Amino acid sequence: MQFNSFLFLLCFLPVCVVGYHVLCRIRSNLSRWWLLAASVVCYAYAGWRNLVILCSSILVGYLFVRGVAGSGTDASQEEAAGAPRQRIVLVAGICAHVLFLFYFKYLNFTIQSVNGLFHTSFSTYRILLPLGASFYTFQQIAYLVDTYRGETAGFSFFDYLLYMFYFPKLTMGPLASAGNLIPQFRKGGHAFDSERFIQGLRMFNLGLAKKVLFADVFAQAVSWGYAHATTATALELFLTSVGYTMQIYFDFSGYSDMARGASSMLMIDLPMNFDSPYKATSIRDFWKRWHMTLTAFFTKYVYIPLGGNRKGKMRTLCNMFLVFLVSGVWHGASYTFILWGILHALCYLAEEILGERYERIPRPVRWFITFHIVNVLWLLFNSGSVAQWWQILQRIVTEGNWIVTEAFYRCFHKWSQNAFVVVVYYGIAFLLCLCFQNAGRRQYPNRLITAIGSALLLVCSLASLSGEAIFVYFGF
Amino acid sequence: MFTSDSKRWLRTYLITTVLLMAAVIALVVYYDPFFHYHAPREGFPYWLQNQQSQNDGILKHFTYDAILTGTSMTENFKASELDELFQVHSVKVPYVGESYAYINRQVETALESQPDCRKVFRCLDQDRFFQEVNARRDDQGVYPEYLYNRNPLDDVYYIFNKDILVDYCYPAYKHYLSGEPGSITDFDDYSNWMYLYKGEDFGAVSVLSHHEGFPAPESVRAFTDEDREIVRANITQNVTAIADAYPDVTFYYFFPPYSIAWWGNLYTKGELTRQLDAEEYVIELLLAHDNIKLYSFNTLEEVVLNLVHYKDDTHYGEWINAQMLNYMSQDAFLLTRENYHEYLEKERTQFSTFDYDALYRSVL
Repeated sequence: MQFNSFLFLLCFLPVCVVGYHVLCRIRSNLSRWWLLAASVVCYAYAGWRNLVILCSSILVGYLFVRGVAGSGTDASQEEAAGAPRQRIVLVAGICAHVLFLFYFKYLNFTIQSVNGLFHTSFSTYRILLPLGASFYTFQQIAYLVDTYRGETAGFSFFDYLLYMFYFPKLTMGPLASAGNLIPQFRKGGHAFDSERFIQGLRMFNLGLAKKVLFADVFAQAVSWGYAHATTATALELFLTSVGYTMQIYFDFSGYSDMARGASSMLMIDLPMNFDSPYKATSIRDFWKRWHMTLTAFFTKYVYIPLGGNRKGKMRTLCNMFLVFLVSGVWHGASYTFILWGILHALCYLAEEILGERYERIPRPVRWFITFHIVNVLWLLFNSGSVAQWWQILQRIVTEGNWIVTEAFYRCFHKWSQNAFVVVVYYGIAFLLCLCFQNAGRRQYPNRLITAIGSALLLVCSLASLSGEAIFVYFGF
Repeated sequence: MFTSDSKRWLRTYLITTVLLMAAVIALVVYYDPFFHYHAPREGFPYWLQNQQSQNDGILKHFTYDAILTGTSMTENFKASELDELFQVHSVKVPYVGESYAYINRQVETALESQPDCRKVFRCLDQDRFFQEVNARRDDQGVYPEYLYNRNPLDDVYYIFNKDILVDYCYPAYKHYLSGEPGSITDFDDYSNWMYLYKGEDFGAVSVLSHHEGFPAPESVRAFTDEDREIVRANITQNVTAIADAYPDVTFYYFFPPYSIAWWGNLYTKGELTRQLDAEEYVIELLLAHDNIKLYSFNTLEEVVLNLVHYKDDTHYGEWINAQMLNYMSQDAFLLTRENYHEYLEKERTQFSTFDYDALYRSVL
């Protein structure tokens, strides 16, 4: 069930939150069962097939967890960590999860690549990636490794279930550690904190507005730009590129804000996932602000086990490169994602090598460089192929026509009479990205004007969820 | 648990949210641009411009005793001419490019909603004989099912809808508050597309620009038993079942006059015989019903064989729509059990022996 849907906003979330807090007062155990049931219902809306696959994955995953956990006590878990049998089970478990993801996400891409490289003609399969598979697979790997390290001692199967199913984070993150989340679940029945609730409500509404009022609008212009990549003007293509940069940020961070907001309303904290990433003045800084929980995952479960920065400069650079490569692959099964990861890696490594020399560049210049590198690489991220990306870049540089046509600016509002609407949208987007403190950090006073503003934002967002069915009147 | 500040904040938030939502609901439901809840209100302007969204409401809430429906073949009819010739009070509800199934759905809605509706005028596009029984056009974005079903809960898609609020409600209330009289798009003008085209858009040059000649077919496709079953299912469910369900209603069905270029295309593809055989079968299925009056303008030579009346293979100018109404009012080109064989023979001869290449010579 999508967060930006009528069913979720008008039915599921209010019922879930009210029911949870009512049950918290009666019995904390009941409130946890309520949360689990609600999360299952929320995910099941995506279809029984997705639910069956998730449940199977969780059950198999838990078997591996039991395998590495030993007898379950803290002491035995510590003893188990490092024991050969547990290590074998750990590796087998990780491989099983990776194979699961490989089958659903990468098998067809691999077959197509083999066919392309070796001129074979193996058939691909009709495989649909289960909703949220990339996220919950990583959560399971994290849990398995944490169990091996003795960090999940005392957690039950129910805890594991709730941790996996927890609806605010299941399909799009943030990736939260079990050690952080499960104690909050177990605390259950903790007193309702109105300040925390209001903060959550505000964050949820802001996230919804980001998604519906900005991301979805930019998406129309971006879609138009890519569809007209061979005929659009240079300025339109440049705006398409920046438009996607805005779209992906407002979409993803909006969703994360909604997740954290909904969770805060349940008195459960989820980690921050975005911290004003477009304020970054270096690629390293960018990755400390963008999809922070994914960066944390890769740091803890890939970079550090590879040796991190403890094995010399060369090895450190190799480890970083591998992390970015894996990150690129994780994002999607296509050469564009792989190249995206590699190019980010190269930029990151270049900064590492330049070191202080890069830091001496004036801050606004560093920001400009960083923003445009990120922007160009987002264009690659969203392109259908590397060739399309290159074609668009070339046209931006060589096409020479720096005007915006009616077809483009009407993507922002269908009755616009000129390109001023483009200026407004991009202006507000940059303002929000660069001039305001991150929603997760901002503390609003509980003034009535913010209550009215938040309500207005919610209703405007609600009214933007639906549009008139497009009907090409004379399209015969 | 609750500080006084937060209590006040939450109270204000909830009240504001409820009030704003109630305001939006009231604005949309009161004006109701798609007639989902009621007929047009006095003093408000109503712009009929979205068949997919507004036809259903028109059929449910307007007052009429006849409907005129079909594909783009019916868009240029003038409801006033129909009313005068047949002494009815009609609504025109074309559904461009749609299937028999979804046009039939409109007819069902009309007859369920308006017990006084006694005449149904509907074109039967000949290129849809072989359509799958539940086919629908799928290139028009998300189908607004919420306007067609009886589920009040999904009306949120209609009420909390930015396009309806900004494009319909805002100008409507602005107009209303200005004191100007209300209005509604005339059914003569609703969906009429003639204003988009000039004289030079019609004619052989325009029509033949879509073709590269009419060479003889390499093979001829027959009307098979499988085809027959497909046609039977389509016509029975989507054309004749409604006539059986409403024996007191007269159904004026007609085959619109596609141009000779359309028939030439069939000839070149080797499908002319198949089409004509299918047409014969369809006629037999339709004529078995006493309350169906079937007209065919395929043998209206002065129109069909003259590309000056067309802007493409099938779309004729509005003067042809007027002509058809006149003929139907006089029962000209009416097919009966007694005359349909003669009609079919004439039609077969017309299209099988026509010199299609002569069309190109006429423009050289």
